[in-house]
Amino acid sequence: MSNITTQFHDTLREVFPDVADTEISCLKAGEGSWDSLGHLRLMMAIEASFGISIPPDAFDKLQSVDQIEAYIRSQ
Amino acid sequence: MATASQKTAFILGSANWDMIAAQVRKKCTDIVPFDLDISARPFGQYLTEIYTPDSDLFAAQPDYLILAERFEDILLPLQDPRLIDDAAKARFDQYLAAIRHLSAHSGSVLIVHEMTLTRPIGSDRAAHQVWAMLSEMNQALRDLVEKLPDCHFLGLGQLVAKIGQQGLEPGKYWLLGRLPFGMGFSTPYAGLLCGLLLSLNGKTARVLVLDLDNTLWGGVVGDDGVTGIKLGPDFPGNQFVQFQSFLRSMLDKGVILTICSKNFEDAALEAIRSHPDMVLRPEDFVAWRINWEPKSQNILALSQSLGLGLDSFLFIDDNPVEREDVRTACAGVTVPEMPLDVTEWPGFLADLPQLFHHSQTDADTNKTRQYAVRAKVEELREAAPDRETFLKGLGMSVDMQQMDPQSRARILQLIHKTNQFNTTTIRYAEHDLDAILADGGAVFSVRIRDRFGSDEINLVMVVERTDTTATIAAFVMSCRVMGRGVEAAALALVSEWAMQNGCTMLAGLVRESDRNDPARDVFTRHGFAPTGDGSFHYNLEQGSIERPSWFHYASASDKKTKAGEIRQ
Repeated sequence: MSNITTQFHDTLREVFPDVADTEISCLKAGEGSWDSLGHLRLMMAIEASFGISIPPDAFDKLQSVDQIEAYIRSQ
Repeated sequence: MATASQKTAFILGSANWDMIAAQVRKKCTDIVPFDLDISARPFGQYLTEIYTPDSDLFAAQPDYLILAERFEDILLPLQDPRLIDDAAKARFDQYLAAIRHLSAHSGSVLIVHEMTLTRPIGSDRAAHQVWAMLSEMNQALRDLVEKLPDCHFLGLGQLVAKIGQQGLEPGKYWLLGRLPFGMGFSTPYAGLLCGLLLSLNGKTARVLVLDLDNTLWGGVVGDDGVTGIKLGPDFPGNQFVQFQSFLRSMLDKGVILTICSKNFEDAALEAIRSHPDMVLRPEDFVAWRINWEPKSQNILALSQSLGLGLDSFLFIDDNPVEREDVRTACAGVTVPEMPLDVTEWPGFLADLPQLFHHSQTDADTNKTRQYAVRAKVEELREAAPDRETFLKGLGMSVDMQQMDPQSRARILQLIHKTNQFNTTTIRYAEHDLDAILADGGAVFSVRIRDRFGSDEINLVMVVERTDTTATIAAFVMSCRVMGRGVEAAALALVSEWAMQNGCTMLAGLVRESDRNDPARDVFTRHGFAPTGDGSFHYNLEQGSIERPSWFHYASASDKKTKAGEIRQ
């Protein structure tokens, strides 16, 4: 796994500690504790972890682990 | 329903506090075994809830209510703080009234946090007025908190100064989800709140165990000699001076300092005594183990000689191997992973919730002296031929009194902090005690003096009264005086009080906790008969319990209190 993937998965585990390691890569918005507040927490944690700023307009488009990782890589 | 050890807390505020509640809950479980069920009430609804007597909030009977309004929350949504108006001031008065109302009606312990302004407002004249008003409002909150029982103020000023505006401002997260603070502030805020809750539950560290080489000074005193260690006004010595000054400030807050070092004792003590740049001197340490034994064993010995459980200890050592040894062999001791950079140590430790320091009573500030006294008592114990001779040699006197305004703070402190000699571990709030007094019960403090100059309330009994039965619902004693038979004297005095007040039965309750081992047999040891349900009975028709001979009993000259009526 690349460094970005590792760092991103660490962030996911921190925000959603109840999710099993094996399920983390297929996580989607709306499932379990990834509700609307969970989404904000995740966005905040990613901004802090990667030192980036995600505009609110992009929040709605980042609905799965894959989409978010692609977004982080594009920054 | 919550389990006996679980505490519940609600955060009340106009912002969305769910995330911070989750952070606090996680921190509390990670740090120490502290089962805290903390959640936020739906934002903006608490004013409705608290004025509805049968609301969920009251039905849940939480242990703690945390009132968490920010300065913005008394403004209209998105109102410019500089345009503060009478309506905003009225909303602040409403907030004060809400706190008063909760204090009178909730039965919960209240925590009121300092108000902050999270949005930037510039630095011109108008901004200055806003800051002045904020400071006035915080003063009003502080004044109110001081007046109310079971109410605590959580100051945020230092954290705001440290993190700064950028971390404080929630920015888009306020607009998107009403989050109160930015990420940079939320996490340390949760740490601070966790620290206060740990402190209110007696779960913060009381003893620092310090390494010497490369911890209190740079280098190795055994190799480099007293003059060769790095300690002084210039780098790298000054980072250790800075760290020692930090430890000195912890000492002033009532934390006690001890040393655990692999060294030759003489050389190490010589450095502490004579190095011109030492901030800490031998008298600042209550005890030390400077030898070549494993540190874990030394810490177990320190725990024994100070009479404090391992979970009161925090171990500071630069060496990860030593830290691992202590972590493995001394379960309960807090062992922080120290940063590699010593210059960061004071800031790092200051942020640890386990070292959070709340209010101070007079007893706290004398702690180091008292533990030093205890060490002297241990010496005498070793020298005496038998127990009674030893106890007589302590020259102790006991003085039992009803709770009065002077003893209140100390009584509550003992009730809240004592885990070992505590028969029921009921953490009474102040108003609970008042209710027991109103029902004809009693709250007794027992002050113990000895010839080493210790003079302090170290025992508390909460006695409930029904007809002709007096029930000791809580029996709490500081471990500092354990093994001196003080509990026997207290039971004798309370049995005399019960008889004088027309009781024929003295009962005692025991509720086992995972730590109150030392208290469980107190009643059976003094002639009480077990009834099988955690209750123990002593029939007063056979007379009162005999007073131990090795105490002097304070005279009954004080006519103001009921306990004073007990005759010699």
